[in-house]
Amino acid sequence: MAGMLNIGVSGLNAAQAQLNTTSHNITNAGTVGYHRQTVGQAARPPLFTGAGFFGQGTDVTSVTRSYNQFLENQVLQADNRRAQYGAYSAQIGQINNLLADSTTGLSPALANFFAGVQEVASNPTSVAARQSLISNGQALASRFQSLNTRLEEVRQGVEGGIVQTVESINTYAKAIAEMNQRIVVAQAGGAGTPANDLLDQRDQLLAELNKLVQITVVDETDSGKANGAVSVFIGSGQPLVLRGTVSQFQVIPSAADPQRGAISLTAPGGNTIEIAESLLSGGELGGLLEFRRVSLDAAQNELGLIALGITETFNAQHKLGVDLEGVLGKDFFKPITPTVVPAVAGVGTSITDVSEVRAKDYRVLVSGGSVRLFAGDEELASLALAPAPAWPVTLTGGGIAVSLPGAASIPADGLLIQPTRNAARNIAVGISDPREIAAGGPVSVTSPLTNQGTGKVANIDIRDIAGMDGSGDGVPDFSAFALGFDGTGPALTVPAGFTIERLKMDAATGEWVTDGSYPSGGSSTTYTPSADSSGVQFRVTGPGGYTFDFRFSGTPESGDAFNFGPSVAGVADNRNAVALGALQTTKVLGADASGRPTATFQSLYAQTVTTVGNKTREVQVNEAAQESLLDQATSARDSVSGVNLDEEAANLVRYQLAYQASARVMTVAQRLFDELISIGR
Amino acid sequence: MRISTSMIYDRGVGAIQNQWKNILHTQQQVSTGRRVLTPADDPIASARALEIGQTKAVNSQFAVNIGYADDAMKLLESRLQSAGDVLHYVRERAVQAGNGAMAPEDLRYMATDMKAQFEAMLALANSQDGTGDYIFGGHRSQQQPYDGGLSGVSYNGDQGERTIQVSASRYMPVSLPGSDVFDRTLRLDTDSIKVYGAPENSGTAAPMLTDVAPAAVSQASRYQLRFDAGAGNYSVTRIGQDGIEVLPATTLTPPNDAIDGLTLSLPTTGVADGDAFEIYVPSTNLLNNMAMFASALESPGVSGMAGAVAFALETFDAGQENILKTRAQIGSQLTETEALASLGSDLDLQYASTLSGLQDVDYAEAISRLTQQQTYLQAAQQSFMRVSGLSLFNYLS
Repeated sequence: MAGMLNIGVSGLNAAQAQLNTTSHNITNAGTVGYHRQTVGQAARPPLFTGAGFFGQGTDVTSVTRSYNQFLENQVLQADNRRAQYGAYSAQIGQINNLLADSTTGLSPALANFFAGVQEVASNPTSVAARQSLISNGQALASRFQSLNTRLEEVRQGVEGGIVQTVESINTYAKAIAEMNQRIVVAQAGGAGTPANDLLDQRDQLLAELNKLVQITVVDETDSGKANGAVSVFIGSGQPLVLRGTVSQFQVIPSAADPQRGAISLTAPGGNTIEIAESLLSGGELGGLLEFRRVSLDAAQNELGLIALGITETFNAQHKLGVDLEGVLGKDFFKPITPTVVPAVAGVGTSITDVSEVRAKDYRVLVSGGSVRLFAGDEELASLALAPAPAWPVTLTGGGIAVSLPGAASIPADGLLIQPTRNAARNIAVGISDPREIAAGGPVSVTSPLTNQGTGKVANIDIRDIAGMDGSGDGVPDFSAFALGFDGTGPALTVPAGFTIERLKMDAATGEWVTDGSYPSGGSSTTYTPSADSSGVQFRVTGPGGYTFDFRFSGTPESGDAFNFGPSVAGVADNRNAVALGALQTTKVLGADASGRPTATFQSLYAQTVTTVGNKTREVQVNEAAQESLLDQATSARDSVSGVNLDEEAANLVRYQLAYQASARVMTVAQRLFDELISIGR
Repeated sequence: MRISTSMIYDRGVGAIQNQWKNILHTQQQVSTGRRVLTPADDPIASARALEIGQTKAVNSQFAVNIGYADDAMKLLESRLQSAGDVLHYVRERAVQAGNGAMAPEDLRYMATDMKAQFEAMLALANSQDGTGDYIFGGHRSQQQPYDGGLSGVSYNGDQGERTIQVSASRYMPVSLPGSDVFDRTLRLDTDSIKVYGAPENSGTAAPMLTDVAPAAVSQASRYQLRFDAGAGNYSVTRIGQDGIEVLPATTLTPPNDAIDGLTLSLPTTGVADGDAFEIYVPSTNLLNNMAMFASALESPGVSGMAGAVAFALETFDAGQENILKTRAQIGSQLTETEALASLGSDLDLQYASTLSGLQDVDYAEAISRLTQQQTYLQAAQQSFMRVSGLSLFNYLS
């Protein structure tokens, strides 16, 4: 009877434990990170008698959580990638919509600006049209600036996000380390049984950390036996948590580019090392870093390249013209010089050919005994340091020139040169007086009325104005000269000190180049009226180097003259305005390998928008894919670890019955005892 | 597969979230009318739309430019037509002047009329457009192109032409320098410079113009040659276009002699002593020729009206021909702008429809999609409510 009572008690205890655990499961059904717990129950060792083994009741052996390491890892992986794409997608979504919007994008401002140029070309004497061009130029500049400001805001948001993420990582790391201690203590005290709820909590912390950055978790062992603690590593094995000790993450200015935050790790020993961005993949941090590196830098540089391109090409053409007062054009937009970081005295930069400029950050580095100029990873120029070159030296490549005063001027981390990064911020209209718009051309031609032939000079295209303004007052004052026609050549003639060349169109580049293969028996000045009367392009270079092209057509007669001279009072002259207007549809940027520009301002912008749009789409698709992966992985895990309330309800009923049954066993035992006592009465 | 309670909720809510996302996207498409809400929706279409947007903007700028070109050329055309009318009128008067019955006073009246016509022509040559720019001044549009008067006009403009871009590849000249309209009416050569004999000459021979050096010629002059048999040479006086003699007088010696770029073969036989000849040297400028004719009407030279009228008809015809040639060019350009304008509006329509195809929503499709998604959402909501209401606990009492 005593045995029966004991058996009943063990059953009661077991049922109680089951009911407790079931209740625990029910109440934690909604707890994040909770794993369903089950009670392990086993029959007690039997009692041997001569008749055989008699059962002794039951024992509660353990409480375990339904935990599958493989499924957990699946969830962690998917969640890590989802967080990365989520962070990327949230950031790029901001610039995605900004760029192509029909009201906030660059396109309408660009179109308005060139419409303003066309207005001036159509009405060169109208001060209103000129004023409107300046206003449209200012509107274009301010559109660039506001787009850039928006990108800067996004950048600051990213930098702030990186700092916050790193702070969160530190917080989680500390919490995990503390949890490690508690688990080790708890499990040591509990004779090696798992501290389920503490483990759940630590796993949850690890899951949260995993959303921020990709981590590697390693179980710690003491003499080959797991002690319950874990160590956490990031990147290529940089320790974040080693049992109870934590390394501090920090955001410091990057050595390569002090404007951007880099992640550094302060090990418990006190060493601070900068972790390469490429090592920090995955999670929110990985997403933010990748967005900054891949999309934001590119978008800002490309926007800057367009701003730089407009400034450079528009200024160059504007300077080839003359304004209402007959003064040679000034810079229409304020010139933009590449930014150099860090600022080193004596280092100078300039744009040599804007069509060659890449939408990238440039870098001057000393490596392998040479000083090298890179754009991104592409090496553009190098100069051996042994034997020592004659300082200062100039490295030219990728459309820019960098002059270096000496080897000491290049810091160990290199010089960062950004031709385009701040261009969209710095673009500004340089002239304010509408009369200063150089709509006219500096060279005019007059054919005397006494010319007997029908020869005509047209389409004067100024190439270079060097030497046109001898007195330096801005007004072209080169001396007038006569282009003559000599019927015996037959050839065009220019006075001594001038050169004239016959040109042909280079089919590959669309540029006028010196015609090497002159008509048979001819020379660089040949003009044969019978064959050439439909027009031949010529180039004249004057003393001082000024150069212009023109088209000569018709049938001149010997002795006919064409007098070239500075334009005077040509207020209705719109030749340069027409040339400025043509820049809208001319390919001036993005030179290919042969040096031929491939993009207009608008097409480069469209390219930027496509790149951002494509990347956004890619990231969104990836995010959706990872979300669905995460759903599947979570379902797989929850099907093992999750609480099913129906199941628990059934368990409640079952263990209640078990409890009642065990209680009935004890009641029977008591009855039996009573029966026995009553025999004795 | 084992199902946990949180799965029922997570999955159910997740499905509803997704349905909401889709329905919101469709709703935005319907409410904005745009299929492509952000470049990410269709990056290629977005970029194409940007490029076509620019092409469309450029095209409409060309339409504006064509308007400017049209205005400028119509103004030119109307001024040239007036100039043609004036020329036509003075030519008729010149024919009348050739009528031998005209008395000297009639000729003087006619000269007055001719001077008035000269002023009219000068005013036309100094025409201004609505903004006060001189239309025949070349690039110097704020400087009166012709000044001077009956005693000679000079051109102050330059020979620049203003062009307006009216299509991607066409730069149309929309201004004409006055020099091309009024100044370059004829060539100075042995055809245009003529020698007329006086009606009362008794000889049969006459001096001949053998060569002309255009640059040296003194334009708009009348040379009065008179053969002096005694001296064996020709005395020469030059009369300017205003009818006033230019001093000093000189003589030309046979057989060949030159004066002011004109080389003459001068006969000594076949000419009688006192025979007079008149050389009419026209100006390349139409206005100067009109002035010269007026002065010839007032004070006829030795060849009388015959020389003056012949000179006038020839130079006026040359001027008329030049103006007609210019008007023909403008006329054909006006036809061209008309064609370009209609082509431009066709293109505009085409670009608009391409743009619309790229980025606008197909309402029929979008609305049917919206209805479909609405059905799905309702189904998801209702089924979720049903499923989430199922629990064994409902039956435990």
